[in-house]
Amino acid sequence: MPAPSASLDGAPTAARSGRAARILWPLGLVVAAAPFFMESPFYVHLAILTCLNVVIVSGLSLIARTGQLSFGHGAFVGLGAYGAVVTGMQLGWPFWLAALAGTAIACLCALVIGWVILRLRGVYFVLVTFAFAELVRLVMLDWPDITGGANGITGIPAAELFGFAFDTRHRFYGLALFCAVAVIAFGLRLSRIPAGHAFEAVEQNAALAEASGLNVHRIQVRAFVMGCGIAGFAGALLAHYVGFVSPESFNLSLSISAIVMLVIGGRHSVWGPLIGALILTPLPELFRAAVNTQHIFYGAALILILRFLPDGLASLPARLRRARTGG
Amino acid sequence: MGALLRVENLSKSFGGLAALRDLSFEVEQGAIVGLIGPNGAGKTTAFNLISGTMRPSAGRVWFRDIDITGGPPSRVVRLGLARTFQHTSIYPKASVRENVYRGAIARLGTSMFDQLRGGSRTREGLSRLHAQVDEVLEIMGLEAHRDTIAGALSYGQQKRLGVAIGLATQPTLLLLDEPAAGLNPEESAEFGRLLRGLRERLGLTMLLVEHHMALVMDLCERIVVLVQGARIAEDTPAAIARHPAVIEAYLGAEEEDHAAG
Repeated sequence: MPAPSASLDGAPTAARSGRAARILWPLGLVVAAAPFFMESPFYVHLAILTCLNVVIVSGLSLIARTGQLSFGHGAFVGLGAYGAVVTGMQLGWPFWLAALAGTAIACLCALVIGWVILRLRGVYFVLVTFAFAELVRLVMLDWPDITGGANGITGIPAAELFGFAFDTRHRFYGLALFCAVAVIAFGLRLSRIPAGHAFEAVEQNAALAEASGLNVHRIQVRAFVMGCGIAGFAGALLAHYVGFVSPESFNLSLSISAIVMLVIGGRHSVWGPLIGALILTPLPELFRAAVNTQHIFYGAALILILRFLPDGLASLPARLRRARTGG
Repeated sequence: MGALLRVENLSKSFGGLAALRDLSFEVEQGAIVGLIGPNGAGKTTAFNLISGTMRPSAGRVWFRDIDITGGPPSRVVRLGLARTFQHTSIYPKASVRENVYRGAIARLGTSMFDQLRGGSRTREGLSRLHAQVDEVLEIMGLEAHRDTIAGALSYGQQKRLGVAIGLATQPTLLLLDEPAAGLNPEESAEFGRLLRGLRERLGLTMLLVEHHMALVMDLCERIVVLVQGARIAEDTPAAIARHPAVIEAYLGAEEEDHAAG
């Protein structure tokens, strides 16, 4: 069940989730804090990527919550990254302003194309987002004066806020963790306010939502703009962490891995992006030797989840509970 | 001010096929009007045109003297004209209460940012909304099922939930597309009582498409008869039952003498 109805349904669910929370909150705190004490740069690196993926996939989940699937999510990460890097390095804007500019550019592009293409449904929308992503990639490649073309842009300085530079892995992990937590908190808050309920109404029965006075097109555009803006913001962070951007950093495989994380984690839960990113960010890195079979693994996992657990791993506790009570 | 709803010369063709031709009628405030006709007469098309789901090929729709021709539906609903669907339309995965609540959300009218920060306008609006949702559940006799997942309701209950979602938008005029379809005569009679109660309690005006003749004759003050996209009669139920063109359309010409006599 989606979170909002659970929150409305009252006592029994609240009591159950209260018990789970007593175990999960301390566990989450330990896991989140652990990278601060890790010496291995590789593990801290993985933790940072996981946090950034949480942000990226949460953006995608906002779009999915109104019933649309974007195949161009990676391109919006790229727009945010390039937007922040170009305004930061060529115009000399401070990090926070540059990141804001990158986010705004992603939002603006999402608004323009979303307004036009969100009248399309299902596979047509998916195809147009895919085409848009290719367009963005080609622009990045063929506009070398600004984007550095195929070589990309190197030497991006570390993020800096109020004179504090996030120039070590541990420091940057702090920033990435804060953003991941903030995005999830935003998602939780959204799922409890009327606007979030409207999102779910649109996803589950668009005709009925429209007949209930909800402007389906405007709601979908709003979710698309917010989701793409979050992706753009994650792109700005990513660029300032890695120190390098190129068109290939934001190609189709980024869009696909975001979708895979969302589906495996759970499309209908705020926690889905967290679960998906936690599991699927480290996996390919740990199985570097199996890089050729990685996509086979992704495909198989996707099929298995869609067949047996369509609401992803986030729905597993509720599933098990129902199985136990024999419901 | 004229009638609550005025339909003027409404026409709609799909390709070369005229689904509706030059339909005009009015619905007065507080009335219950029936729209009947054989299958394919254009009743659902008329509903789609009035509610703004489709744009007519010609003609106008006036609601409270506002031109609502061509929608969009969400705007028409916010003006106070709601509809229910022929094939019961609910959110099957959400609780009954959540279903009705989603029908009411659009009336809140506060920005997402005010909602996010829990502003006073949102909080006051929400407590009002929740009270209205409870009232709708009570009126439609669904309060015992408020926490049930809507998909688990019986067919008849789902039909009532469909009407409840429409009521949650607080309409002045409710369009009901075959509210009693698939119900047995007993359930259908009960649905009729329920609808009449809505008018008494909420002052609701209703326009319904229905095949159950007993229900239509019992409930409606006026009936508009459509045949092949055109209006052939509009009158009181008693007069419609004796109307030769209606009898011919429904029963065939050879039955005419018998039925009229």
